[in-house]
Amino acid sequence: MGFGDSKTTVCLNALNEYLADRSYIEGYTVSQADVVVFEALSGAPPAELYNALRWYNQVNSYKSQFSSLPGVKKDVSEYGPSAAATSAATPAAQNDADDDDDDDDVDLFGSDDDDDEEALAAMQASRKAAEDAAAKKKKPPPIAKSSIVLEVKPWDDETDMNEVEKLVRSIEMDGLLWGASKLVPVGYGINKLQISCVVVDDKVGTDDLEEKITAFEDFVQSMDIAAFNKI
Amino acid sequence: MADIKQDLKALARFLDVKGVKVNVNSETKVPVLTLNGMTVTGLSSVANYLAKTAGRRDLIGGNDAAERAAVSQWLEYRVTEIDRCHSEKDVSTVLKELNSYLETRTFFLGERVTLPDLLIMYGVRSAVSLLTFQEKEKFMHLSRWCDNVQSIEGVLQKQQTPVFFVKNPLYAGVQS
Repeated sequence: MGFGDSKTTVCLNALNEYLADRSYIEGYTVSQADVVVFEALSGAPPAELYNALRWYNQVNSYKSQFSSLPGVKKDVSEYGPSAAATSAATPAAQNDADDDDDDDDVDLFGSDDDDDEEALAAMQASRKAAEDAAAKKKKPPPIAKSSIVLEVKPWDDETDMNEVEKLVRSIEMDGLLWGASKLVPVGYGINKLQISCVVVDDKVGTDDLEEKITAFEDFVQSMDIAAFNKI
Repeated sequence: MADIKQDLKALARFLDVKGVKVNVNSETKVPVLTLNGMTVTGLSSVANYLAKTAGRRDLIGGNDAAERAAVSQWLEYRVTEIDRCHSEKDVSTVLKELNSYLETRTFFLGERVTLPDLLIMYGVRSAVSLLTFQEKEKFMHLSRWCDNVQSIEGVLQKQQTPVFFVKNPLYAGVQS
């Protein structure tokens, strides 16, 4: 999908939103990806779309070097929000191509060669994207979802609640989406973590969640479900 | 909230200037740099001196007088605002201020990395790393800039772990 025909306001809005937490279209430096999207624009975005405008000015300052920037040009529709999964595959693939001459030997113990992992992750990501796309095409009947508020209680006041939140958010399951969280004081300086999530009923059970969260046994003493609503 | 000595050493390593010695006066917190028998005092002067020694005039604004003045102004901000944060409230004021400044900018000055990007990033990274994900998202422009600067090769030293930012927004409607 990408930003589509970048001349319309709708797509400029998408670009603006996409660039809110990114400096460039791809990665951390200006690349051909920026050039492609830049050239698809008819001019500078309006001032109220300040993320897009900031990026436009930044890329514009590289105008004389456009042809020498790194990266490979792709069609403009390849970039953007929904293309994130597929574009993640390209840098890893390029890495592989770059250093295939020196460390091609088989690493029996798989110690520190994370290229393979990256490639694997990228492969999984693209496969998942393809599956998702296929699932979308089929248009299944509306999926039953529930919104759950969980309470995660630590062992004592010395438990690092930020770490707890990080661990909890690190749980990834198909059909599970984490939402807002806050710390709620329990007393004696102890805080419990209240975190909301949305789950697809068929895919994620509360038992699975509880099992996974209490698996962080160094941090988590117990876990409760504070609220459970069908959407 | 920052370790001036470590920050200047990191800067020297980023610029590949060797044989640098940095001492920080424990009372006044003023850094003194010794390099090849020369002594330079004060964070701003040390940073400028290092950039010139490394031949990186682009980092201090090049030949553009206005940009060079802006570089000194932001280095002054680091010394007077960031290094003098005493309470959590001070820190959050600074972060808020930087966030709103960076809203319309990729880097502090112009379209390229300059000294203020490096030294202010070094200065706030410990504070940013203590933020929750929700707060990081609230300071989205600061987070974007911080993530971008710390990803430039050589900016972070081996022993410094990058601040972790999530790739996609998690919360609805928290951005300020």
